[in-house]
Amino acid sequence: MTTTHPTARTYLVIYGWLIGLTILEVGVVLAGWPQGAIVTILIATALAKALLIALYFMHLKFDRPLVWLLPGIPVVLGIVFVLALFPDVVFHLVQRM
Amino acid sequence: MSEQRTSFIRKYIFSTSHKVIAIQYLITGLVFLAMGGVMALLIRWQLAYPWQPVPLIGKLLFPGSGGAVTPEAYPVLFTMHGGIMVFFALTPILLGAMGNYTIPLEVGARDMAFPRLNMLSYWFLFLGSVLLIASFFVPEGAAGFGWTVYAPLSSSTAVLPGWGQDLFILGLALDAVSILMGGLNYITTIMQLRAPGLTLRRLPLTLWGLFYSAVLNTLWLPIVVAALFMVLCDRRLGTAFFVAGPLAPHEGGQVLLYQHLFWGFGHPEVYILIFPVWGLVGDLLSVFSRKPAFGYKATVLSMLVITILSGIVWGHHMFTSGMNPLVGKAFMFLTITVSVPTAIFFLNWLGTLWRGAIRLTVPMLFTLGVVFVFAIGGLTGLFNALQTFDVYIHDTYFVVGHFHYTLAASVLFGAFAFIYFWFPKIFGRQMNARLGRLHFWLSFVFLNAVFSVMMFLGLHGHMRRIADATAYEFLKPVQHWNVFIGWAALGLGLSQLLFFINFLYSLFKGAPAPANPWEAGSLAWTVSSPPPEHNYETPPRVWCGPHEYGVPSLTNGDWLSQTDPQAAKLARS
Amino acid sequence: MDRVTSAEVEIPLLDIPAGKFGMWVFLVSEIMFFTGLIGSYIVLRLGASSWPKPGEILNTPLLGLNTLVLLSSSLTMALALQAIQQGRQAALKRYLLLTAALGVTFLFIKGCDYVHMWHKGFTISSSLFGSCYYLLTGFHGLHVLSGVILLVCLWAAASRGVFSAAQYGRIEYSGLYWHFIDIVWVILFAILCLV
Repeated sequence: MTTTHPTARTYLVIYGWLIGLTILEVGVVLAGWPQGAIVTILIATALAKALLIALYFMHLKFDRPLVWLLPGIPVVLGIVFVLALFPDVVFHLVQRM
Repeated sequence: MSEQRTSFIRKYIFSTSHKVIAIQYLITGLVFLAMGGVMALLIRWQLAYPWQPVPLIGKLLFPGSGGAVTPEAYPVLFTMHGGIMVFFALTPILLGAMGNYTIPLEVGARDMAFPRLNMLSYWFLFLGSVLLIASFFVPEGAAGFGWTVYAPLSSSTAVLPGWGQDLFILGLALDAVSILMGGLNYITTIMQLRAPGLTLRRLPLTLWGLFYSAVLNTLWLPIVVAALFMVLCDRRLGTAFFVAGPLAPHEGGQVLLYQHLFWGFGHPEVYILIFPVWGLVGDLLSVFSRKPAFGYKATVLSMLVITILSGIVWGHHMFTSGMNPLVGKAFMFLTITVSVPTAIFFLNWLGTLWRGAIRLTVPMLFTLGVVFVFAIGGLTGLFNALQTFDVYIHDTYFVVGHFHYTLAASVLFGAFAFIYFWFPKIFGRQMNARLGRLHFWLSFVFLNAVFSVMMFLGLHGHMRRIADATAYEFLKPVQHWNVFIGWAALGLGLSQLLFFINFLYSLFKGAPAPANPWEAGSLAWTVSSPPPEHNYETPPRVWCGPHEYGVPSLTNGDWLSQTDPQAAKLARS
Repeated sequence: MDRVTSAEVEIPLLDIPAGKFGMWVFLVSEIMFFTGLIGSYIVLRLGASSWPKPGEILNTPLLGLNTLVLLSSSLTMALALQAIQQGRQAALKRYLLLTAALGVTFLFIKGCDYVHMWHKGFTISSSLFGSCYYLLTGFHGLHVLSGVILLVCLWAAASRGVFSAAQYGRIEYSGLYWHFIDIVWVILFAILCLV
C-alpha cells in the first residue's frame, strides 16, 4: 500500500474543479452556443472530469503505474471496438463498392 | 474454523471450498453434456430420416406428431444444443470445474482469493440453468433463434412471441455473471496468491490457459450481456435497437450492430473455451513424455499474442452479412495472422513429444487426440478465414465441421483429459484404464467419421440449420451421407456411456489413489488424494518449474517435484 | 483481509492487496459493459438520419443539479476513506451515510424526472433517443442503487467497529466502485444529455 494520501484540501480543490467544469458545460448548452463548439467543449470537459476523478478520488495518481494497466486496457480496447463499428453502423448509408 | 462439525448443507451445498464448488460445476456440466448430446442425436436422426418418428423416445418428446421431430421443434433443437454445449456443459467443466479445482492447489494457496464470491458464482450458474430448463415448459416452447440469438429474429415478438426465448436470454445473462465472478477469482488468485518461489515462469501451462481464458471473459462477456439486454428491450419494452424499416415502431436502429456486438464476444468465446485445453495439453504432453515442455516461454507468449488478436478478428463470422468489404479484408488479414502463434505452440507440442519416453495412459491418449483433431480443426480454420472462400462455405456444413473439430473434438477431448487426469486427485480413487482406453478409441473413430464427412457435405453446398436435405434437388445425391453421419453419431453417443459408467463406478468402487499416481511435478501432486481441507498447512516453497522431467543429474527417479529443495541446484529454472 | 492466503506469498503481479486487485478486475468488466451500451448509442446516433436536440426534451438544469449531487457524493466518499485512514470512526460513519444519502437523492431526482418525461410522451419506445436514454441512464441508475445498498452495508459494519486505521480495505474498494459510477455519469451527462 502506498504511503502518500491526498489531504482533505486536495479533495476539496478537485471537487471545486469538478463543479466548475459542470457549470461550464450546462452554461454553454443553455446559452445556445454553436453545435460544433458545444461538442468540442463537452468532450473536453467530460474527459477532464473523468481524469480528475480517476487520478485523485480513485487514487491512480498515487498508485504505481502498473495499476493503470487495469483500467487502461479496457478503455483502449473499448475505443478500438467502437471505432470498428463505424464503417458498418455510422456510414451505412454511404455508398459502398 | 471451530471444532464443531459444519452442517451437511454448509459443507456440500453452500460451501465456499473451491474443491466442493469445482465438483458442483463438474456434475452440472456433465448433466448438460448428456442433455446436449441427446439433442445432437435427435438432430442427426431428423437429418438422416426426415420426419420419421424417433425410435424409443420419440413418442415421449414429440407426442403431437407421432414421435417425429416437427418443423417448430427443429430450430429449438439446434439452438438449445449449441447454447447448452457452449455455456452449460463445456464452460462449467473446463472453466468452472478445472479452474476452480486446480488453481488454488497449483499456486500453493489454501483457497481462492474470494471464496464466498466463488460460491455465488456457482449458484448464478445454477439459477441460469433453472431458467434454461424452465424454457422447455412454457407455452410456445424453448428458444429457436439459434445459439447466436441473431436480431431481428430474436428481437421481434411478432415472429417469436414465446417467453421461452426470453428465458434463454436471461439464463445466458445469469451464466455470464457466474463466469465473470469466477474469472475475477481466477485472475486474482493466479496473479496475487502464488506461493514463495512460484514465479510466473514456473506456472503450469494449465494455469496460463485458465488465466488467458479468464482475461478474455472479463473483457468480452460484458459486451454480449449488453447486446442481450438490448434484445430483451426490443422484445418486451418496445425499443428498436436492432430493427429498422417496417418492423420498427419509429425510425429504428440497425440490424448489423447486433452481429458486431455478438461476435465481438463470440469470437473470443471460442478461444475462451480452448485456452484451458491448450494449457492442459502443454502440461500433460510434458508429464507423459517425461520431458520438459518444449519452448515454454514461446508457448506462453504466443498464447498472449492470440489473446490479444482474438479480440480483433470477429468480423470473419460476418463476411456474408453485408458488412463493409474493406473492413472484412482487415479482419481476414488479422484472422490469418492468428495462425502464426498457433503454429508456434503447436510445434512446441510436437517438440515436447519428440524423443520423449511416452507413457500411453488414458489422459495421454486424449491429449494426443486433442493434438490430432485440433490440427484438422485449426487448418480448416484457415479456409474459413479467407473472405473469398468463406462466401461459398458460410452457413454450410463446412463451418459446422470446422467448429465441431475445434469444439466437440478438441475441447471435448480436453475435458476428458482433464477428468481422467485429475479424477484421482479429486476423488481419491482411480478410474478404470481399460474402459478409458475403449472410450477413447471408440470416441476417436466415431468423432472423425461424423465431422470429417460434414466438411465434404459443406463443400457440396449442404446448408446448416435445415431440417430436411431431401427438400433440395442438389442435396439428394448426398443424403446417404446424412444417414452415415447419423449412425456414426449414434456410435459416438453410445461410446460416452462407457465414460459415464466408468466415472460413476470409480467414484464408489475405484481403487484408492496415491498422492501422485502420474509422477507429476506440480504443486497439487505433493498433497494427498483427495487433498486436505485447506490444501497446505504451511505455504509450500517452490524451487523450480513444473516440468522437471528427465533431469540428467538425478540418481534415483527421472523427475523433480516443484517443492524438492534439490531442484534449486539441479533444475534448469 | 486476505484470510485464506498463506502467511508469505510470492511477489504478486501488483503490489496491492488482493481485494483492491479484485475490485479493479471487476471494474474492467464494468468498463466493457458500459462500452457495449454507450458505444452502441454513439454509433446508432451518428448513423441515424435525424436526432432530436436533447435540450428540447430533457430538463437540462435538473440533470445538471443531479450531476452536482453525484459529484458531491464522490467527495464525501473520498473523505470517508480519508477519515478511516486516520482512524476517525465517527467521521467515517458520517461520510458513509452522507454518500448514501446523496446517492438516494440522485435516484429520487432521476425517478421523478423519469415519471414526468414519461407522462409527457418521452418513453423508452417513443424514439431511438428515448430507447438509448432510458437504457443507459437506467442501467446507470441500477448501478447507483447497488452502490447505495453497498454503502449502507458498510455503514452497518462500521457501526460494529469492523474498520480501523490498519483495516480499511473494503472502504477503499467500495470507493473505487462508487467513483467509477460517477465517471460513467459524467460521460453520460455530457454525450447523452447535453450534446
